[in-house]
Amino acid sequence: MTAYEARAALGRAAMRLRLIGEPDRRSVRTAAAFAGAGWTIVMLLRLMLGGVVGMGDNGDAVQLLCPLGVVSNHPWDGQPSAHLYPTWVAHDWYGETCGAQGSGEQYYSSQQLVLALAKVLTPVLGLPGALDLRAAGALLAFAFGALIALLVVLLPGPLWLRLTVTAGFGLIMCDSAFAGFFISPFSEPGALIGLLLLCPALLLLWRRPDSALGGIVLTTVAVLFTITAKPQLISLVPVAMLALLWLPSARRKDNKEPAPAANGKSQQRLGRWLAARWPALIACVVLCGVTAGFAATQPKRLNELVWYDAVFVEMLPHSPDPVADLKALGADTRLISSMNSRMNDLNSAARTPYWDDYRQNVTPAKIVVHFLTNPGRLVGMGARGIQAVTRPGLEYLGSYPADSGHEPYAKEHRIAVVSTVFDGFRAVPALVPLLWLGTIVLGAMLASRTWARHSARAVGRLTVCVVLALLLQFWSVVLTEGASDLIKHMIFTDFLTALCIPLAVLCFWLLYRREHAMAPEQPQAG
Amino acid sequence: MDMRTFPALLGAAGLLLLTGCGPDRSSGAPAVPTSLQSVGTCHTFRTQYEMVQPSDVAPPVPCDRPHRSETYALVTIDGPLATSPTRPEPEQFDAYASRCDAETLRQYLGAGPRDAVSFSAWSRIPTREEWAGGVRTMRCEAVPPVQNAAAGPLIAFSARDVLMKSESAAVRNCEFGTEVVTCDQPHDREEVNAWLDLDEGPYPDDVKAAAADVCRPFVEEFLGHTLKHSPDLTIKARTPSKGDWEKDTRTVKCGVGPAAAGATVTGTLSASAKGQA
Repeated sequence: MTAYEARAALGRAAMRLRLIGEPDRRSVRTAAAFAGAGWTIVMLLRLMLGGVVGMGDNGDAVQLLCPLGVVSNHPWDGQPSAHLYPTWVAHDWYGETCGAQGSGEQYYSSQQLVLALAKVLTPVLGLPGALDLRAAGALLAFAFGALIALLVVLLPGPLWLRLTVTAGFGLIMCDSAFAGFFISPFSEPGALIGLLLLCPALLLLWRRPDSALGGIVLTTVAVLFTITAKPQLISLVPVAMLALLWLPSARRKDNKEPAPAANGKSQQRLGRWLAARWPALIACVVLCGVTAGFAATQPKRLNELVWYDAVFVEMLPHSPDPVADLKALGADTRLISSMNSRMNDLNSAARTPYWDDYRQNVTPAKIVVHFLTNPGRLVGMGARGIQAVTRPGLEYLGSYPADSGHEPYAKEHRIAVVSTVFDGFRAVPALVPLLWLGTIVLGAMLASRTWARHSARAVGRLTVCVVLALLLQFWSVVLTEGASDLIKHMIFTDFLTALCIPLAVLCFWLLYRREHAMAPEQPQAG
Repeated sequence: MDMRTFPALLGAAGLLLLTGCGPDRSSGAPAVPTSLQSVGTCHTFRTQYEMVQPSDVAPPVPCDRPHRSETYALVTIDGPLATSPTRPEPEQFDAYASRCDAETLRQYLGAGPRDAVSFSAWSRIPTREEWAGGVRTMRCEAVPPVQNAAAGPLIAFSARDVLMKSESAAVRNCEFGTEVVTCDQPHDREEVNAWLDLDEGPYPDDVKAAAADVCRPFVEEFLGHTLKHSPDLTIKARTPSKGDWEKDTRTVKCGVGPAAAGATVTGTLSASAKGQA
């Protein structure tokens, strides 16, 4: 068989499988089911095959899991950070031992819903203890597969393109940098699944010229689930509101776009703009209300720790004149002795007599304003943030159980596509902002192409939103947590940055091969 | 409504339903307020995490059951900190930690003047809720030394006057070579509560002999008799090196142990523990 004949045979096979050309609904559903099931299996295998793989605990586990009445069954002298202890046993918690960092203040996370389901599932799967994190991993693997299937349905283009792009998404989530979280005592897996859920939710939202009600509901639910998984993701709210309000969501009775105001009065234009978006506006109100309520329930102790780090771990150690910074903040300059300390360290500012005055004078708003009024400092912070972005994966937490035979803190790197790409970024960190810039430009170009079908333009809008979301997340982490555990806090920026790669490729492809993005009824532009 | 919106709405409803299901914190025996956990109550913790928390209202356990700490004093928090309507941050109680003083702990343990104490003093502050209710009592707790690293600090008897009993060997620190062990295990040196300074001047030619001279009365007080009555024992003092001496370190830590090389002792040599003090 000649090369030409082989190519022709491949083409015929692809046509039979409907991999190329405009797929019908049935073949899309079949492909989605296979992709979803396939990626679920891949995830389950990479988590369980050859022994369980997950992530140890850096001390945050108790606040998440103690409300479920369980405690890790590691021995007294066990090293929870060096090894994974997936089994949690029933336990009575008293007083403030169950709460955020021993404060007794309840810590809320939507990941607790996943863990509550995992607790129910643990005996069903025959796993030991009252709650086994492997059950949570299995649940999340199924959710991940379902989302991949949904993406296959909602992405534009021929099946081979959809399957290729979703394979990119799948490889990212299965990468050692992120998959370990699935079997971990952290809130991150809920947030990662929430972020992934946002992708099909936004594609559904923009499938039609006006936002679909189902898309509005699913987007709102996805954003709320994500934000309530991990409070640092509250930075998603502005992007979610932009997404919800991007297109009109109230269908006019005559099914036409609202006409521009004839008299040009801006008030009337605003009125029409709002009237065309009332379902999305309701969703925005719900979003803001729930977010405000969730922010209000955040443990005060955690907020204290965050803002303590912003000054004593980030601002002062990286300042050319830290004493001047303390003066500018209205703090006692003798607190300079606490520079580089965490709040519970022996040289913590909270252990000094100046702490009460500090708390009264140094508010979060004052800290942010101080950063913003020193833009030169933001450059340094941004550079350190980019360095942290190039290091996905928490090397200081072990991946394997203590009885697995692996050394303490040993990390699993069986699927390391993202990690390898990010290794390249580490060599040339400037590639990261370039990737962000290139991706948002491609997304904006696709979103603005009037010849493209709605599902293709939706990909463009999604890409723009992903980049905006990661930029807001990046700066909110840099400005608050600063240099304190920056790599762990950058995990969502890492994930969204990794998603930029398949999204940028898809946008480029849809712009380059117009026949995949163009509405079938429209003639092909020359 | 578009039929395609149903699955999304159904999913959202399911999620909201789940959100309504609050977490279930299991409850066994009721909590006991800090102020009711009087001197002599014993406490146990399953994890190190629970043990290091600033407050503790878990129900106490009988002191003849395994426990990790024992309340030896209750002190009142006063001064400006006490006027705060909400409980200050745990770090702000550092200034009060010294109220859980070593002398009170020694008295509680029944330590003789030359008994070295290997218990550590911890403090527990009221919970936020208790503080808001006006509780200003801080609990001082005695934490025993670690006999077995895998089990952590754990004893199954009361620490009150324990150093006056022979079972105190399990909570006294001794040394076997360079390893710190509890005195109920074979050892070649037992610490004596006497940290003394050698005289100023040049580094002694025989620093061990100089240290033995200053330690002798204290070691004999610890033993309850003179060393002449126990020729198999000798003074084993930790002495400063020449380098330490040049940095003005003159401190000698007194100790006692078997005279024969390689010989070991099991149990404590303290006269207090034998009821001879």
